[in-house]
Amino acid sequence: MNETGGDVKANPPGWSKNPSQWGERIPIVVLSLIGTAIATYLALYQLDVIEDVWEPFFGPGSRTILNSKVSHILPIPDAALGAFGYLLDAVTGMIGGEERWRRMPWIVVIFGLAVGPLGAVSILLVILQPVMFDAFCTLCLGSALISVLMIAPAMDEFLASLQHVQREKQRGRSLWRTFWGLEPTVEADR
Amino acid sequence: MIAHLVAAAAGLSVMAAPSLAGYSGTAADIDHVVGPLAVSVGIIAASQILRAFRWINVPLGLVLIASTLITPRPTTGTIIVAVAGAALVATAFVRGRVDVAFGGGWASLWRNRRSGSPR
Repeated sequence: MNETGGDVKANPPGWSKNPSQWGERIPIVVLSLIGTAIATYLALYQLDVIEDVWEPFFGPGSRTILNSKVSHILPIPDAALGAFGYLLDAVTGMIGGEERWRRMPWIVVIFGLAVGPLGAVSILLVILQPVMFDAFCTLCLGSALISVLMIAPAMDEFLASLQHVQREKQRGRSLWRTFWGLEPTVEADR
Repeated sequence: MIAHLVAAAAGLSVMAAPSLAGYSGTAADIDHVVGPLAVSVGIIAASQILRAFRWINVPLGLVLIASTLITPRPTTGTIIVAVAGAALVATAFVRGRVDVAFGGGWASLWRNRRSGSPR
């Protein structure tokens, strides 16, 4: 994957770590896979594939939330959309090697854009649970927690890619080609 | 980092306060909105890269403190929310350790744009 093997040369300029190294990314991918599993389970309940939903703390809470109007505001149940979002996070989190912050800024940006709004929507849904329906849903809260936990770890790589694209543009390179990783990287840039 | 996890815990206690102390209505709605926001801000600000998010907990804490003066809650609820509100404001002022260098951080994107010249 990476000829420099995660040593300091792979760090973005001025960084004391490499945000694209596997040690930084694998935890996010694991979290998003757990999120995918939870959301898929909830979506199966919403699609009536499974009869009941696991709810250890809030009695009928999960049933109330998962059958609410808000959760069916779109043509597909909201948990199905969530499952897709988490899967997108996992896939875009895995693509590329440890220098993807400069070799593939596009995937890092898609990754950041997938993680950010998913977290924001999760927080919104958590607020709506008690305010609109006077109920809480344990697995929905767990899923929201996961999506919030992923935000910061995804953002450091996002920043490294933005800095890289900006640096290359100021150097007179094409922003477009840099974004898609088509410009040859300059090794002397350290 | 610990200060901001304390803020997240404070947010969680606000989120749970209406159920714990048994109240509903406007006060409960405020707590159910501000609580999850404070939890999220605390978790995000616990990271070094988004530590600046901690400042969002200042207005959130002030809203909680103000609401204890305006909207009635049972005594237990008032205490939980007031203490949590104060904790949100206080922890926001704790920067904590930031020992990772981020190449100038988010500010570099604006700073470098203004200076404009290639290095």
